[in-house]
Amino acid sequence: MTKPKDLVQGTLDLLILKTVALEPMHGWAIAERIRQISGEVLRVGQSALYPALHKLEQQGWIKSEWKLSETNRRAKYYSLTRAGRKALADEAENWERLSAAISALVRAV
Amino acid sequence: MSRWLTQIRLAVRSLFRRPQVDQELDEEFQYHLERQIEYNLHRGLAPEEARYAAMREMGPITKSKEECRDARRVNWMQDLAQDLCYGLRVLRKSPCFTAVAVLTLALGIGVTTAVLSIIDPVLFRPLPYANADRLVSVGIKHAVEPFEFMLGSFYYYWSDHQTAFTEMTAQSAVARPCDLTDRDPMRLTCSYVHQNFLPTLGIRPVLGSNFTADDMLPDAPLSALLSYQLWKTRYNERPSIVSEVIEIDGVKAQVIAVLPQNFEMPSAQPTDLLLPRQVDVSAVRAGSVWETMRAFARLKSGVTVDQARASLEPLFKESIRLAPPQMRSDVHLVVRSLRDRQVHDVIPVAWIMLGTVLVVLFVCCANAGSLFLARTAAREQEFAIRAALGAGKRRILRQTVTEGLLVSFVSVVVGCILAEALLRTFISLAPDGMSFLRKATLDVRILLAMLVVSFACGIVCGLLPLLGLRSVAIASRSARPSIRPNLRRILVVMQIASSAVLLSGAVLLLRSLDNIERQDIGFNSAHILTVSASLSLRRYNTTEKRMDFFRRVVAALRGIPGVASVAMTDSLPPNGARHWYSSMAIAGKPPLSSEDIVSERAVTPDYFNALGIRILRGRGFSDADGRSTEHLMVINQELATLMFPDQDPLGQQIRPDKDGPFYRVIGIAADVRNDGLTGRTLPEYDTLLGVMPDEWTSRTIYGGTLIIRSALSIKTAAPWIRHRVEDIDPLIPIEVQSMHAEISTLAARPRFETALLGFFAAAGLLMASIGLYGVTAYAAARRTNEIGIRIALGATRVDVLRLIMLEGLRLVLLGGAIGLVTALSTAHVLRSLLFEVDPYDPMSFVCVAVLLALIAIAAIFVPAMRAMRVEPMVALRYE
Repeated sequence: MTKPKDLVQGTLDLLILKTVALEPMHGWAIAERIRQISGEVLRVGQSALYPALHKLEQQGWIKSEWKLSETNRRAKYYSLTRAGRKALADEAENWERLSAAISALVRAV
Repeated sequence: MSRWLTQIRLAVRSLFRRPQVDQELDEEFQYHLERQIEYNLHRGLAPEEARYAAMREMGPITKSKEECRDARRVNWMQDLAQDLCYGLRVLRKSPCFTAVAVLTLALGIGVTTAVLSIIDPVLFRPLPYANADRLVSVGIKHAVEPFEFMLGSFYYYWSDHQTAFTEMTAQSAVARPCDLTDRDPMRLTCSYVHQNFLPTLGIRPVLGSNFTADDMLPDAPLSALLSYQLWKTRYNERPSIVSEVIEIDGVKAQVIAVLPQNFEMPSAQPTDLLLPRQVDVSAVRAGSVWETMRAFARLKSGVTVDQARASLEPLFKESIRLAPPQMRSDVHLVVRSLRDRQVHDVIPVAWIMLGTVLVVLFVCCANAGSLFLARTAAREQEFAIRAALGAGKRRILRQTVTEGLLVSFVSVVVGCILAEALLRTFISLAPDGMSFLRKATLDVRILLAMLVVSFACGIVCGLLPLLGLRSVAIASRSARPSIRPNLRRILVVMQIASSAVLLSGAVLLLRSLDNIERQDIGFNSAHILTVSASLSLRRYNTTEKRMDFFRRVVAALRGIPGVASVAMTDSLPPNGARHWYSSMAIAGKPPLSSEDIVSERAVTPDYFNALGIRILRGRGFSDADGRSTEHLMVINQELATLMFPDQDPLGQQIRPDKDGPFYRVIGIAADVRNDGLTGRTLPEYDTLLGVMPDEWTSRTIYGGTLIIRSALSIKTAAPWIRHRVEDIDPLIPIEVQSMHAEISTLAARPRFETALLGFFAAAGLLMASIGLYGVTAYAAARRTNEIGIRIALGATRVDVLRLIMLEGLRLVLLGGAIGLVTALSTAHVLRSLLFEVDPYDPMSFVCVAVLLALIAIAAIFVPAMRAMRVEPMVALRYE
């Protein structure tokens, strides 16, 4: 499984930003955290995750540094930048609006 | 802001520390994999199984890595670097193609840049005056003078009553030679201007100030304005010059100002000194002093040139009523913008050059395109292989476009060098009448425009393979897309057509130039030296003094060994002074009414002899005539027929001017060119400069020209001549020239035009033959296989030759036909530049057709010969 089918385009960015907002995290942990918190519904494969991470880093929303992981190996940790925090707020608001709109539509029909 | 910095830092890092970035990417994925394995172990899978599961879950890592790199947005830069390297390698591997493509484009860029750099300042350069677009030239136009001029009485009347201008000013009609006579005498050119001349044009001197009203009074002490160039060369730019006194024609003059560096007279005549026009205004107003001038004016705001002309029309009508009778008819009012006056003469040339150069540019670009097309065809296999290996269509196009751009970049560099060289050549060829050319420099804007054109051409060249690429993925060597060969053929046909047009223009001009140079000017210019001397008006203030000087000079020059005859004249053919026919009179006959213009000349007895002008009837002047007091005249054939259609002209009495004496006609001379090299021969009368001062009156006021027939070369004779003249008056500057040089100066302009168009035609023809060669060679190469089979089946070599040549000849015929038709339908634009050649001259067009055919056949023959020599076995193994 690479990209969850039911993941709306652009939502992955929001998930990543939200996840790393809590604390600096490496790629695998981000995927794992998304899986756990979504109750196994959202599974993000590496093929979607890493390009997204690199894109967000290039955009300046997250930054990366190499640190020792909990298993005592070097890992690349991503954390939110100030611009990223702002982007997260925007994206979250967008999402709220969009999901509310979709829910309303689904219920009405 | 910091976000941008971060992004740049990341991009730079990905670009220049690529190994490290790649290694980090590997490490990141490796870490992910290991964590996944651990997780799987944790879920209870066996170690091997855990590993495989993790790898399955990861999917294709290489693709993800590529996506990560793309996300970093630096791939295109790396691709570009790769494309550039590859492109350079490809171009270096085919030096012939590269050289021809670069030269083709460079030629187009160079020629266009050089020519546009010349044309632009002519048509669009800013005139060096304040609000120059509001300045107009005002005057009357009559056949006696190519430019509009003004009469003094008109001028004052008009400037008093006009309503269209804020200001009107005038300068002397012609610049006059004048001499700087303090230490180290020097010949200069002086113009006389009115007090408001500089203010009207909006010019402020760089030093000092303009003339005052008092400077203009007839008896005021002389004051002078120096040109910047004179100030620089003669006075080393010393500021104290303003307040110094110089001597002009022996008269002290106070320098009061220095003109700006970019100053030029609105009449475009070169000038070293501006002097005040000191004149009794009331006498000029009354018409008792005859004065010709050039008038300029500044339009009031909101008034157009047409409105100004309309408002002056009544004043013009009023003035013309009072004018001398010969002026009244055939004269009209001219009000036109200053720019119009300045460029009117060269506009046709400029447009023809512009048209020509665009054709050349087109031919060059078409040729470059054609070359690239041929190459694409040759590289079909390479593209097919690359496509098979996974290169997208975009990727391949990016590669070819990069190559196109590389070629155009190199071409621009070469083109710039070429443009500079061409510009210098043009400038060195430029005739005097095109002095504006000497100021031409490479125009950066035009160069930039050429850069854009060239890159556009490069991109188009790179994109041309697109036409065939659709089939590349499945391209096999036998399935050939047919569109490219057709496109190439069309390009070649268009090239041949364009060069046929250029070539016919060049041939027409060449014939015209040949006519000009070989025409019978009526006299023998070989072994003739001319010496022009102009006398200081102040020192030679009487006719007697001038007569005495010239008679002594003629006598002195006769004494030089090797000199056969010496004559003096006030004007040298093929030029002449002009006179109104209607102001002449024949004794015992009704007044003449024709509107013709005649040429007048005053000469010493040896004139006809020295120039070898034949006397058809009667006799020429003799030395005895020179000593007699009778007024004698020789007329030319033209005047004899005009004046005495059915009578014997000999012995008739003619009076050129109302107040002058009658002259007895003693001879009829053969016609000699007297209206420039290309004008028709005007009726002419020659009067004698003898011993009577009244014959020497106004004619020699500014000097005269001595004609020396001598076998001596100019090098040997010039020092002798200078010595002899210096013995008589060391302060008179003289100029010694050979008659040949003088005439050749007159033909300089047609020569320049011919050289220019000839150059373009040659360039166009070269391009077309390269294109034709390319197309034939390519077609022949593609048919190597077929030719092999044909020969194997029994076709003779001649058959093969015919096969290949016919294909090329079809293109030549079609292109040539289109070109000749176009040339014939556009030839009329050349009419104003042609001398005694019809724009539809059949001879010229036959020449063009033959020349074109010869060159085209040569271009086809070479590849056809190669095809003919194909060895069937080699050809068959070729597959």
